[in-house]
Amino acid sequence: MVTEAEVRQALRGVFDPELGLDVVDLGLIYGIAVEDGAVRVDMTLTTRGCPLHEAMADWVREAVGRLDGVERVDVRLVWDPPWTPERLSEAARRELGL
Amino acid sequence: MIGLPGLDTRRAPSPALPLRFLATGAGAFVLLQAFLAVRGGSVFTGRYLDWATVGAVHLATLGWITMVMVGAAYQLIPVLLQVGLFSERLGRLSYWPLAAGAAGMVAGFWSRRIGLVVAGGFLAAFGLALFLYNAVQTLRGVRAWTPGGRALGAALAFLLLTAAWGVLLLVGLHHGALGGAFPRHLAAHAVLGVAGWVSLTIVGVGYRLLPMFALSHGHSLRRQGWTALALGLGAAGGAAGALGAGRGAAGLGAALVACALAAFCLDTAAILRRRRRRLEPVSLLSAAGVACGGAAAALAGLGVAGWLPPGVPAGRVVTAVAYLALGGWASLMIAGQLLKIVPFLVWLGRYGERAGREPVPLVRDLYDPRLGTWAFRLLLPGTLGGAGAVLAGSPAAGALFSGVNLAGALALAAAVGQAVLGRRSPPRGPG
Repeated sequence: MVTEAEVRQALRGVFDPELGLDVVDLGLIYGIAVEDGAVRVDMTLTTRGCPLHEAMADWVREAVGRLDGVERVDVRLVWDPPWTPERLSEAARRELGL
Repeated sequence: MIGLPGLDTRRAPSPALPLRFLATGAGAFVLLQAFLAVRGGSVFTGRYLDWATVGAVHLATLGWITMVMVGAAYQLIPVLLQVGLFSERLGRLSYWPLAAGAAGMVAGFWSRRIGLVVAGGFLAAFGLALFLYNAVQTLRGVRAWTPGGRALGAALAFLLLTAAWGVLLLVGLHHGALGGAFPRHLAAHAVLGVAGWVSLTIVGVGYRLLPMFALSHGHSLRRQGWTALALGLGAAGGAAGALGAGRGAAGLGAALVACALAAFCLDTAAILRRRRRRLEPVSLLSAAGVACGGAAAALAGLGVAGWLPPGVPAGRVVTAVAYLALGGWASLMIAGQLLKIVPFLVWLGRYGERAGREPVPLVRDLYDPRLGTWAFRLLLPGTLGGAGAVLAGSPAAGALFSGVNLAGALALAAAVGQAVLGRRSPPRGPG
């Protein structure tokens, strides 16, 4: 059965094409729940109506869906709490030159 | 996604539509700097009504600035205001008369052929009319207006007025109908265009794009609406003053524009202070553009108040204001945005469907980032030096600094060209 850690690792393959950072380092992943082959990912975007938000959700869905044991992927966009740059990982801050 | 927050690209046209305008504009920018380096003597001696100068101004305003802003508007109006573009076909149709018309006008001015100026002008006006119709029909579908959207709407109104005054001037040029009033209408045309259409677009879009590109959060945008309002009123007042409402109206208009630019300058500084990434050429060029805009407004205010620098004729002050406004404020801001928008559009068109399924490059892999850095390093001193050359009345210094600007424009065009033509880019991860 797939684990939360495996899902999180798979999400490191989903990149913001402008920043070159993955959605985990960007702090966009708010929660991962795994139950009987069904995976739910709660994620946010930096702003509502983000330019590629449909595409980003699709990329997350496809990345998780490729994992063995995953039968269904549910991606939910959430806006509370709103994203802030404080959610960037240390690696992301270094990459951005902060 | 951080790249373009608040922009839903599902409603945008295919990237090819805005890209043709943006690439053409970049080419016009190179041509402009080449002309100023080789034949810009009339500009740097303040002969702003000289045929060569007017030709250069129209290459700058129509060929470079408006061409890029129209292309960007086709992309940004739908995504900023969450509404589908009315007609992509109409958008493609609008390109040819605008491009050919601008080329005809400039060629006409440079060869002193009034017939070519008038023909080119009417053609360009037709192209702009097609764009305005498309834009207005698109805006009719907007459900939720934002301050930036209202600024864009106002900018389009000023574009209509600028084009209308342009047509009036063409008729005046051809038939001599305006007589002694021609200079006043020319001044109104310039104010409506630069303070209205150009500045309102830059401000309206800038408040959205600058934080996005700088990865900046937490700054206040409460001045955004007032900045755009002051710009609009200032442009109207300035035009009214030019048309005979008196120095009071012109002075009030200049003051409002100056206040608006000062507010935008403060907000730009606040945005950049709160950035969460290292400064990139887009932010550096934007900051430089804002600073030039402030300088232009300050110089214009001094001129309207009658406080001209001693020994500097009014003609050189007018030309220096125009140079800073068009070459600094507008050009540097637009150059910075091009370095982000063009690669993003190319990426969207080429890799958007493939991302997530196969390794694809990042947006920044599409062009050599050193080109953007060099564009900034060259365009800022070139522009400031060029403005100084105008005030000093020195064609030699003007040619020198235009050469610097030409190198910067070539760096910018090379970055645009690399992205469009497909720089060899290593794919990255699964996407």
